[in-house]
Amino acid sequence: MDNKFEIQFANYVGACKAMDFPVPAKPVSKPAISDNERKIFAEAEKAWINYSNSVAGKKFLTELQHMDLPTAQSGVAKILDNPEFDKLKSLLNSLDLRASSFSIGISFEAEFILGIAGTLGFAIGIGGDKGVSSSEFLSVWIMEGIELGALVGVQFGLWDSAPADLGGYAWGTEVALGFEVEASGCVLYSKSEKLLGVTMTIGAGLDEGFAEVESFTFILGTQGENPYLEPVYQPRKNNFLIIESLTCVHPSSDGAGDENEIYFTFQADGGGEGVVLYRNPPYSYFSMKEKDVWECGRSVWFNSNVQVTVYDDDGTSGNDVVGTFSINLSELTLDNTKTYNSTDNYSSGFDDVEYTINVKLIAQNVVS
Amino acid sequence: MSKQHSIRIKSIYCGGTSGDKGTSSDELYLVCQSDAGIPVRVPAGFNKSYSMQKGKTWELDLVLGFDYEVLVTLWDHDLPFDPNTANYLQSHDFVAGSGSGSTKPLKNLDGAEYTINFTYID
Repeated sequence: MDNKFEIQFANYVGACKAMDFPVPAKPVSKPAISDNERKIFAEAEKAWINYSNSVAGKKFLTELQHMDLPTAQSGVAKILDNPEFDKLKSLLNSLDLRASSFSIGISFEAEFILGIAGTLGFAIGIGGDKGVSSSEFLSVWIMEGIELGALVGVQFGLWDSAPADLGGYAWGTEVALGFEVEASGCVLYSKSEKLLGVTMTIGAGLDEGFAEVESFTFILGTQGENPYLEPVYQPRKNNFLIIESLTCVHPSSDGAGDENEIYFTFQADGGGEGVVLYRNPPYSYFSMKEKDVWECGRSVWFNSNVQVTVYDDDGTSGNDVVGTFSINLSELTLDNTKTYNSTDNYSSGFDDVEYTINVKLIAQNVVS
Repeated sequence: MSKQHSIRIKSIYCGGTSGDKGTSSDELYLVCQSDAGIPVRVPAGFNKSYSMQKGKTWELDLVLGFDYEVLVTLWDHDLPFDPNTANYLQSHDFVAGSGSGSTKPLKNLDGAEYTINFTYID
Protein backbone atom coordinates (compact mmCIF):
# COMPACT_ATOMS: atom_id res chain seq x y z
CA MET A 1 0.00 0.00 0.00
CA ASP A 2 1.05 3.57 -0.58
CA ASN A 3 2.69 5.78 2.00
CA LYS A 4 -0.38 7.99 2.45
CA PHE A 5 -2.70 5.04 3.04
CA GLU A 6 -0.42 3.62 5.72
CA ILE A 7 0.02 6.98 7.41
CA GLN A 8 -3.76 7.45 7.50
CA PHE A 9 -4.11 3.91 8.83
CA ALA A 10 -1.56 4.76 11.56
CA ASN A 11 -4.06 7.23 13.03
CA TYR A 12 -6.49 4.35 13.59
CA VAL A 13 -3.71 2.19 15.00
CA GLY A 14 -2.93 5.01 17.42
CA ALA A 15 -6.58 5.20 18.42
CA CYS A 16 -6.51 1.47 19.17
CA LYS A 17 -3.24 1.57 21.05
CA ALA A 18 -4.69 4.22 23.34
CA MET A 19 -7.55 1.95 24.33
CA ASP A 20 -7.55 -0.30 27.34
CA PHE A 21 -8.48 -3.54 25.64
CA PRO A 22 -10.52 -5.81 27.90
CA VAL A 23 -9.33 -9.13 29.17
CA PRO A 24 -11.68 -11.26 27.13
CA ALA A 25 -13.39 -14.42 28.24
CA LYS A 26 -11.96 -17.12 26.00
CA PRO A 27 -14.41 -19.87 25.08
CA VAL A 28 -12.96 -23.37 25.23
CA SER A 29 -15.01 -24.82 22.40
CA LYS A 30 -15.27 -23.34 18.95
CA PRO A 31 -18.47 -23.23 16.94
CA ALA A 32 -18.90 -25.66 14.09
CA ILE A 33 -19.08 -24.03 10.68
CA SER A 34 -22.45 -24.96 9.20
CA ASP A 35 -22.80 -26.49 5.73
CA ASN A 36 -24.41 -23.33 4.44
CA GLU A 37 -21.65 -21.14 5.83
CA ARG A 38 -19.13 -23.45 4.20
CA LYS A 39 -20.97 -23.08 0.86
CA ILE A 40 -20.81 -19.31 1.18
CA PHE A 41 -17.08 -19.27 1.90
CA ALA A 42 -16.35 -21.78 -0.88
CA GLU A 43 -18.25 -19.67 -3.41
CA ALA A 44 -16.62 -16.50 -2.07
CA GLU A 45 -13.22 -18.03 -2.70
CA LYS A 46 -14.15 -18.98 -6.27
CA ALA A 47 -15.63 -15.56 -6.95
CA TRP A 48 -12.53 -13.86 -5.59
CA ILE A 49 -10.18 -15.91 -7.74
CA ASN A 50 -12.27 -15.14 -10.83
CA TYR A 51 -12.52 -11.47 -9.94
CA SER A 52 -8.84 -11.04 -9.16
CA ASN A 53 -7.98 -12.57 -12.55
CA SER A 54 -10.50 -10.44 -14.44
CA VAL A 55 -9.56 -7.22 -16.23
CA ALA A 56 -11.54 -5.12 -13.76
CA GLY A 57 -10.14 -6.99 -10.76
CA LYS A 58 -6.53 -6.73 -11.89
CA LYS A 59 -6.98 -3.04 -12.59
CA PHE A 60 -8.47 -2.33 -9.17
CA LEU A 61 -5.92 -4.37 -7.24
CA THR A 62 -3.06 -2.67 -9.08
CA GLU A 63 -4.47 0.80 -8.51
CA LEU A 64 -5.26 -0.03 -4.88
CA GLN A 65 -1.56 -0.04 -4.08
CA HIS A 66 -1.44 3.71 -4.71
CA MET A 67 -4.78 4.84 -3.32
CA ASP A 68 -5.33 6.89 -0.22
CA LEU A 69 -7.73 5.52 2.36
CA PRO A 70 -10.96 7.25 1.24
CA THR A 71 -10.38 6.26 -2.41
CA ALA A 72 -9.69 2.65 -1.42
CA GLN A 73 -12.76 2.68 0.82
CA SER A 74 -14.92 3.74 -2.10
CA GLY A 75 -13.40 1.07 -4.36
CA VAL A 76 -13.85 -1.79 -1.87
CA ALA A 77 -17.52 -0.88 -1.49
CA LYS A 78 -18.04 -1.57 -5.21
CA ILE A 79 -16.28 -4.95 -5.51
CA LEU A 80 -19.45 -7.00 -4.95
CA ASP A 81 -21.05 -5.20 -7.92
CA ASN A 82 -18.83 -7.15 -10.29
CA PRO A 83 -20.49 -10.10 -12.11
CA GLU A 84 -18.10 -12.66 -10.58
CA PHE A 85 -19.98 -12.22 -7.30
CA ASP A 86 -23.51 -12.70 -8.70
CA LYS A 87 -23.71 -16.37 -7.69
CA LEU A 88 -22.38 -15.56 -4.22
CA LYS A 89 -25.05 -12.90 -3.72
CA SER A 90 -27.67 -15.33 -4.96
CA LEU A 91 -26.54 -17.89 -2.36
CA LEU A 92 -26.57 -15.24 0.37
CA ASN A 93 -30.19 -14.57 -0.54
CA SER A 94 -31.33 -18.17 -0.79
CA LEU A 95 -29.45 -20.11 1.91
CA ASP A 96 -30.60 -20.28 5.49
CA LEU A 97 -27.88 -18.53 7.48
CA ARG A 98 -27.76 -17.39 11.09
CA ALA A 99 -25.69 -14.35 10.10
CA SER A 100 -27.13 -10.86 9.76
CA SER A 101 -24.39 -9.49 7.56
CA PHE A 102 -21.77 -10.52 5.05
CA SER A 103 -18.58 -8.60 4.45
CA ILE A 104 -15.77 -8.39 1.96
CA GLY A 105 -12.59 -6.58 2.89
CA ILE A 106 -9.11 -5.96 1.60
CA SER A 107 -6.61 -7.08 4.22
CA PHE A 108 -3.18 -5.54 4.34
CA GLU A 109 -0.10 -5.42 6.49
CA ALA A 110 1.14 -2.01 7.50
CA GLU A 111 4.71 -2.20 6.32
CA PHE A 112 6.25 -0.07 9.05
CA ILE A 113 3.96 -0.95 11.94
CA LEU A 114 5.04 -4.41 13.05
CA GLY A 115 2.46 -6.82 14.36
CA ILE A 116 -0.45 -4.81 12.99
CA ALA A 117 -2.68 -5.59 10.04
CA GLY A 118 -5.80 -3.95 8.73
CA THR A 119 -8.94 -4.81 6.83
CA LEU A 120 -10.78 -2.19 4.84
CA GLY A 121 -14.22 -3.65 4.30
CA PHE A 122 -17.76 -3.36 3.12
CA ALA A 123 -20.66 -5.19 4.77
CA ILE A 124 -24.17 -5.85 3.52
CA GLY A 125 -27.22 -7.00 5.44
CA ILE A 126 -28.45 -10.55 4.81
CA GLY A 127 -31.23 -12.70 6.23
CA GLY A 128 -33.59 -10.52 8.21
CA ASP A 129 -31.30 -7.56 7.62
CA LYS A 130 -31.25 -8.07 3.85
CA GLY A 131 -31.22 -4.75 2.06
CA VAL A 132 -31.71 -2.91 5.33
CA SER A 133 -28.26 -1.45 5.64
CA SER A 134 -24.66 -1.58 4.60
CA SER A 135 -21.52 -0.24 6.18
CA GLU A 136 -17.93 0.54 5.35
CA PHE A 137 -15.46 -0.34 8.05
CA LEU A 138 -11.79 -0.46 8.98
CA SER A 139 -10.51 -3.15 11.31
CA VAL A 140 -7.17 -2.93 13.08
CA TRP A 141 -5.74 -6.38 13.87
CA ILE A 142 -3.19 -6.81 16.59
CA MET A 143 -1.28 -10.01 16.02
CA GLU A 144 1.74 -9.99 18.26
CA GLY A 145 4.37 -12.56 17.58
CA ILE A 146 3.36 -13.18 14.00
CA GLU A 147 5.18 -12.01 10.93
CA LEU A 148 2.55 -11.64 8.30
CA GLY A 149 5.02 -11.30 5.50
CA ALA A 150 2.43 -10.52 2.87
CA LEU A 151 0.89 -7.38 1.64
CA VAL A 152 -2.65 -7.73 0.42
CA GLY A 153 -5.31 -10.38 0.73
CA VAL A 154 -9.06 -10.55 0.98
CA GLN A 155 -11.24 -11.33 3.97
CA PHE A 156 -14.84 -12.51 3.86
CA GLY A 157 -16.98 -12.49 6.96
CA LEU A 158 -20.32 -13.76 8.16
CA TRP A 159 -21.45 -11.74 11.14
CA ASP A 160 -24.19 -12.09 13.71
CA SER A 161 -24.69 -8.32 13.84
CA ALA A 162 -26.19 -5.96 11.30
CA PRO A 163 -23.67 -4.00 9.18
CA ALA A 164 -23.97 -0.83 11.23
CA ASP A 165 -23.23 -2.74 14.44
CA LEU A 166 -19.95 -4.35 13.44
CA GLY A 167 -17.79 -1.77 15.21
CA GLY A 168 -15.85 -2.36 18.39
CA TYR A 169 -13.54 -4.83 20.07
CA ALA A 170 -13.20 -8.51 19.10
CA TRP A 171 -11.04 -11.38 20.20
CA GLY A 172 -10.39 -14.15 17.72
CA THR A 173 -8.88 -17.58 17.35
CA GLU A 174 -8.22 -19.85 14.41
CA VAL A 175 -10.97 -22.21 13.29
CA ALA A 176 -11.04 -24.93 10.66
CA LEU A 177 -13.23 -24.01 7.74
CA GLY A 178 -13.77 -27.65 6.88
CA PHE A 179 -12.91 -27.63 3.20
CA GLU A 180 -9.83 -27.50 1.03
CA VAL A 181 -8.91 -23.89 0.75
CA GLU A 182 -5.74 -21.80 0.72
CA ALA A 183 -7.12 -19.60 3.44
CA SER A 184 -7.41 -19.27 7.17
CA GLY A 185 -10.57 -19.21 9.23
CA CYS A 186 -11.04 -17.12 12.32
CA VAL A 187 -13.89 -17.11 14.79
CA LEU A 188 -14.44 -13.85 16.64
CA TYR A 189 -15.99 -13.12 20.01
CA SER A 190 -16.88 -10.04 22.00
CA LYS A 191 -15.17 -9.45 25.34
CA SER A 192 -18.08 -11.25 27.03
CA GLU A 193 -17.74 -14.44 24.98
CA LYS A 194 -20.57 -13.59 22.59
CA LEU A 195 -19.98 -15.03 19.14
CA LEU A 196 -19.54 -12.18 16.68
CA GLY A 197 -18.79 -13.97 13.45
CA VAL A 198 -16.48 -16.06 11.31
CA THR A 199 -14.00 -14.83 8.73
CA MET A 200 -12.04 -16.42 5.91
CA THR A 201 -8.86 -14.66 4.84
CA ILE A 202 -7.15 -15.53 1.57
CA GLY A 203 -3.61 -14.67 0.65
CA ALA A 204 -2.53 -12.33 3.42
CA GLY A 205 0.10 -14.58 4.89
CA LEU A 206 -2.20 -16.01 7.52
CA ASP A 207 -2.11 -19.53 6.16
CA GLU A 208 0.86 -20.36 8.36
CA GLY A 209 -1.48 -20.35 11.31
CA PHE A 210 -1.98 -18.11 14.28
CA ALA A 211 -3.15 -18.59 17.83
CA GLU A 212 -5.04 -15.50 18.83
CA VAL A 213 -5.81 -12.07 17.52
CA GLU A 214 -7.46 -8.96 18.85
CA SER A 215 -9.10 -6.38 16.70
CA PHE A 216 -10.99 -3.14 16.84
CA THR A 217 -13.35 -2.21 14.04
CA PHE A 218 -14.23 1.37 13.14
CA ILE A 219 -17.39 1.97 11.17
CA LEU A 220 -16.38 4.59 8.64
CA GLY A 221 -18.60 7.35 7.41
CA THR A 222 -20.21 8.20 10.72
CA GLN A 223 -17.35 10.20 12.15
CA GLY A 224 -17.78 13.54 10.45
CA GLU A 225 -15.97 14.88 7.47
CA ASN A 226 -12.43 13.64 6.91
CA PRO A 227 -12.19 11.71 10.19
CA TYR A 228 -8.81 10.76 11.56
CA LEU A 229 -7.15 11.14 8.21
CA GLU A 230 -4.94 14.16 8.63
CA PRO A 231 -1.49 12.59 8.48
CA VAL A 232 0.41 12.66 11.76
CA TYR A 233 2.63 9.56 11.80
CA GLN A 234 6.00 9.98 10.07
CA PRO A 235 8.06 7.03 8.82
CA ARG A 236 11.62 7.28 10.08
CA LYS A 237 14.29 8.78 7.85
CA ASN A 238 17.98 9.45 8.35
CA ASN A 239 17.77 12.67 10.33
CA PHE A 240 15.51 14.17 12.95
CA LEU A 241 14.91 17.82 13.75
CA ILE A 242 12.55 19.76 15.93
CA ILE A 243 10.88 22.98 14.87
CA GLU A 244 11.19 24.25 18.41
CA SER A 245 9.29 27.47 18.03
CA LEU A 246 7.69 29.94 15.69
CA THR A 247 7.95 33.65 16.46
CA CYS A 248 5.53 36.29 15.28
CA VAL A 249 7.81 39.28 14.73
CA HIS A 250 4.91 41.13 13.14
CA PRO A 251 1.51 39.66 12.21
CA SER A 252 -0.29 40.16 8.95
CA SER A 253 -3.07 42.75 9.04
CA ASP A 254 -5.88 40.56 7.78
CA GLY A 255 -8.70 42.91 8.78
CA ALA A 256 -9.69 40.63 11.67
CA GLY A 257 -7.91 42.26 14.58
CA ASP A 258 -4.24 42.18 15.45
CA GLU A 259 -3.94 38.40 15.64
CA ASN A 260 -3.07 35.78 13.09
CA GLU A 261 -4.55 32.28 13.31
CA ILE A 262 -1.42 30.34 12.60
CA TYR A 263 -0.75 26.83 11.38
CA PHE A 264 2.01 25.50 9.19
CA THR A 265 2.61 22.70 6.75
CA PHE A 266 5.85 20.80 6.36
CA GLN A 267 7.19 18.37 3.84
CA ALA A 268 10.46 16.49 3.92
CA ASP A 269 12.71 15.97 0.91
CA GLY A 270 10.79 17.66 -1.85
CA GLY A 271 7.37 17.23 -3.33
CA GLY A 272 6.15 14.69 -5.81
CA GLU A 273 4.07 11.57 -5.63
CA GLY A 274 4.08 9.69 -2.37
CA VAL A 275 5.62 12.54 -0.35
CA VAL A 276 3.26 13.47 2.41
CA LEU A 277 2.43 17.05 3.31
CA TYR A 278 1.82 17.36 7.05
CA ARG A 279 -0.06 20.10 8.86
CA ASN A 280 0.70 21.35 12.36
CA PRO A 281 -1.47 21.37 14.32
CA PRO A 282 -3.27 18.74 12.23
CA TYR A 283 -6.55 20.52 12.92
CA SER A 284 -7.32 24.02 14.24
CA TYR A 285 -4.68 26.78 14.64
CA PHE A 286 -2.72 28.80 17.22
CA SER A 287 -3.51 32.52 17.56
CA MET A 288 -0.49 34.82 17.65
CA LYS A 289 0.07 38.53 18.23
CA GLU A 290 3.20 40.60 17.71
CA LYS A 291 6.21 39.18 19.59
CA ASP A 292 4.36 35.97 20.58
CA VAL A 293 6.41 32.80 20.55
CA TRP A 294 4.67 29.48 19.89
CA GLU A 295 6.80 26.69 21.28
CA CYS A 296 5.26 24.13 18.96
CA GLY A 297 7.93 21.42 19.36
CA ARG A 298 7.12 19.80 16.02
CA SER A 299 9.56 17.01 15.24
CA VAL A 300 10.28 16.04 11.63
CA TRP A 301 12.07 13.06 10.06
CA PHE A 302 13.98 13.98 6.90
CA ASN A 303 16.93 13.03 4.73
CA SER A 304 18.19 16.29 3.31
CA ASN A 305 15.68 19.12 3.56
CA VAL A 306 12.35 20.28 4.95
CA GLN A 307 10.05 22.88 3.45
CA VAL A 308 7.81 24.76 5.89
CA THR A 309 4.95 27.08 4.92
CA VAL A 310 3.21 29.19 7.57
CA TYR A 311 -0.42 30.22 7.02
CA ASP A 312 -2.85 32.65 8.58
CA ASP A 313 -6.13 30.72 8.72
CA ASP A 314 -8.69 33.33 7.74
CA GLY A 315 -11.54 30.85 7.52
CA THR A 316 -11.57 30.64 3.75
CA SER A 317 -10.13 28.08 1.38
CA GLY A 318 -7.44 30.54 0.33
CA ASN A 319 -5.59 30.96 3.60
CA ASP A 320 -2.82 33.55 3.46
CA VAL A 321 0.80 32.49 3.43
CA VAL A 322 2.80 34.54 5.93
CA GLY A 323 6.12 32.72 5.78
CA THR A 324 8.07 30.09 3.86
CA PHE A 325 11.16 28.38 5.18
CA SER A 326 13.68 26.06 3.59
CA ILE A 327 15.70 23.94 6.00
CA ASN A 328 18.71 22.02 4.70
CA LEU A 329 20.70 19.46 6.63
CA SER A 330 23.95 21.14 5.60
CA GLU A 331 22.95 24.29 7.51
CA LEU A 332 22.38 22.49 10.81
CA THR A 333 24.72 21.19 13.48
CA LEU A 334 23.73 18.57 16.00
CA ASP A 335 22.08 19.89 19.19
CA ASN A 336 22.32 23.50 18.07
CA THR A 337 19.37 25.77 17.36
CA LYS A 338 19.29 27.82 14.17
CA THR A 339 16.88 30.68 13.47
CA TYR A 340 15.39 30.81 9.99
CA ASN A 341 13.86 33.85 8.30
CA SER A 342 11.23 33.51 5.62
CA THR A 343 12.67 32.95 2.17
CA ASP A 344 10.02 35.28 0.72
CA ASN A 345 8.78 38.62 1.98
CA TYR A 346 5.01 38.63 2.48
CA SER A 347 4.77 42.29 3.46
CA SER A 348 2.82 44.59 1.20
CA GLY A 349 2.24 48.33 1.52
CA PHE A 350 1.72 49.13 5.19
CA ASP A 351 1.21 45.44 6.02
CA ASP A 352 4.54 44.45 7.53
CA VAL A 353 4.58 40.66 7.95
CA GLU A 354 7.39 38.73 9.56
CA TYR A 355 7.69 35.29 11.15
CA THR A 356 10.78 33.30 12.10
CA ILE A 357 11.28 29.69 13.18
CA ASN A 358 13.85 28.06 15.43
CA VAL A 359 15.08 24.64 14.34
CA LYS A 360 17.28 22.15 16.20
CA LEU A 361 18.86 19.03 14.74
CA ILE A 362 18.63 16.30 17.37
CA ALA A 363 19.66 13.12 15.53
CA GLN A 364 21.71 12.36 12.48
CA ASN A 365 22.28 9.23 10.39
CA VAL A 366 19.72 7.25 12.35
CA VAL A 367 18.77 4.85 9.55
CA SER A 368 21.59 3.36 7.51
CA MET B 1 11.09 -2.24 20.79
CA SER B 2 11.76 -0.50 24.06
CA LYS B 3 12.42 3.22 24.13
CA GLN B 4 15.59 4.76 25.54
CA HIS B 5 13.88 7.33 27.73
CA SER B 6 10.62 7.83 29.54
CA ILE B 7 8.71 10.41 31.51
CA ARG B 8 5.70 10.12 33.76
CA ILE B 9 3.02 12.79 33.48
CA LYS B 10 1.54 13.04 36.96
CA SER B 11 -1.01 15.79 36.61
CA ILE B 12 -2.18 18.73 34.56
CA TYR B 13 -3.26 21.91 36.33
CA CYS B 14 -5.72 24.31 34.73
CA GLY B 15 -4.97 27.99 35.36
CA GLY B 16 -7.60 29.05 32.82
CA THR B 17 -9.73 27.62 30.04
CA SER B 18 -10.15 28.67 26.44
CA GLY B 19 -13.06 30.94 25.58
CA ASP B 20 -15.06 33.28 27.80
CA LYS B 21 -11.83 34.77 29.18
CA GLY B 22 -10.81 31.53 30.82
CA THR B 23 -13.96 30.96 32.85
CA SER B 24 -15.75 28.21 30.87
CA SER B 25 -14.86 24.52 30.68
CA ASP B 26 -12.42 22.78 28.38
CA GLU B 27 -13.10 19.16 27.48
CA LEU B 28 -9.43 18.30 27.60
CA TYR B 29 -7.69 15.41 25.91
CA LEU B 30 -4.09 14.79 24.98
CA VAL B 31 -2.43 13.44 21.88
CA CYS B 32 1.01 12.04 22.69
CA GLN B 33 3.44 11.34 19.87
CA SER B 34 6.84 9.83 20.59
CA ASP B 35 9.51 10.47 17.96
CA ALA B 36 6.84 11.49 15.42
CA GLY B 37 5.43 7.97 15.65
CA ILE B 38 1.93 6.67 16.20
CA PRO B 39 -0.26 9.30 17.88
CA VAL B 40 -1.89 8.07 21.08
CA ARG B 41 -4.94 9.74 22.53
CA VAL B 42 -5.47 10.15 26.29
CA PRO B 43 -7.97 9.38 27.69
CA ALA B 44 -8.52 6.47 25.34
CA GLY B 45 -11.70 6.39 23.30
CA PHE B 46 -13.19 8.87 20.91
CA ASN B 47 -15.75 10.44 23.16
CA LYS B 48 -13.53 10.62 26.19
CA SER B 49 -12.13 13.80 27.65
CA TYR B 50 -11.56 15.35 31.05
CA SER B 51 -13.62 18.39 31.90
CA MET B 52 -11.37 21.17 33.17
CA GLN B 53 -12.20 24.40 34.89
CA LYS B 54 -9.90 27.06 36.29
CA GLY B 55 -8.16 25.74 39.40
CA LYS B 56 -8.84 22.08 38.65
CA THR B 57 -6.15 19.41 38.44
CA TRP B 58 -6.35 16.30 36.25
CA GLU B 59 -4.48 13.54 38.08
CA LEU B 60 -2.72 11.15 35.71
CA ASP B 61 -0.21 8.35 35.80
CA LEU B 62 0.87 8.41 32.19
CA VAL B 63 4.25 6.95 31.26
CA LEU B 64 5.54 7.94 27.83
CA GLY B 65 8.57 6.27 26.28
CA PHE B 66 10.69 7.90 23.59
CA ASP B 67 14.08 7.83 21.93
CA TYR B 68 14.42 11.55 21.15
CA GLU B 69 11.31 13.45 22.19
CA VAL B 70 7.64 13.10 22.92
CA LEU B 71 5.25 15.83 21.86
CA VAL B 72 2.22 16.18 24.12
CA THR B 73 -0.57 18.22 22.56
CA LEU B 74 -3.54 19.54 24.53
CA TRP B 75 -6.91 19.69 22.76
CA ASP B 76 -10.35 20.94 23.69
CA HIS B 77 -12.82 18.40 22.36
CA ASP B 78 -16.12 19.73 21.06
CA LEU B 79 -17.94 17.15 18.98
CA PRO B 80 -17.36 13.48 19.58
CA PHE B 81 -15.78 11.49 16.77
CA ASP B 82 -14.74 14.54 14.78
CA PRO B 83 -11.27 15.92 15.40
CA ASN B 84 -11.93 18.58 12.77
CA THR B 85 -13.91 20.48 15.36
CA ALA B 86 -11.36 20.13 18.16
CA ASN B 87 -9.52 23.23 19.30
CA TYR B 88 -5.78 23.14 19.63
CA LEU B 89 -4.81 24.57 23.01
CA GLN B 90 -1.06 24.19 23.35
CA SER B 91 1.70 21.61 23.32
CA HIS B 92 4.92 20.72 25.06
CA ASP B 93 7.83 18.74 23.70
CA PHE B 94 9.63 16.61 26.28
CA VAL B 95 13.20 15.68 25.43
CA ALA B 96 15.85 13.51 27.05
CA GLY B 97 17.40 14.97 30.17
CA SER B 98 14.58 17.44 30.73
CA GLY B 99 14.58 16.82 34.48
CA SER B 100 11.47 16.62 36.64
CA GLY B 101 9.04 19.29 37.73
CA SER B 102 6.48 21.41 35.95
CA THR B 103 6.34 22.95 32.54
CA LYS B 104 5.90 26.69 32.44
CA PRO B 105 2.20 27.58 32.02
CA LEU B 106 1.12 26.70 28.48
CA LYS B 107 -1.09 29.58 27.40
CA ASN B 108 -3.07 30.68 24.40
CA LEU B 109 -4.80 33.94 23.52
CA ASP B 110 -8.23 32.46 24.25
CA GLY B 111 -7.44 32.23 27.95
CA ALA B 112 -6.29 28.64 28.23
CA GLU B 113 -3.48 28.06 30.71
CA TYR B 114 -2.24 24.59 31.60
CA THR B 115 0.76 23.37 33.56
CA ILE B 116 2.01 19.81 33.19
CA ASN B 117 3.56 18.21 36.26
CA PHE B 118 5.94 15.40 35.33
CA THR B 119 8.79 13.19 36.43
CA TYR B 120 11.71 12.29 34.21
CA ILE B 121 12.20 8.56 34.75
CA ASP B 122 15.30 7.74 32.68
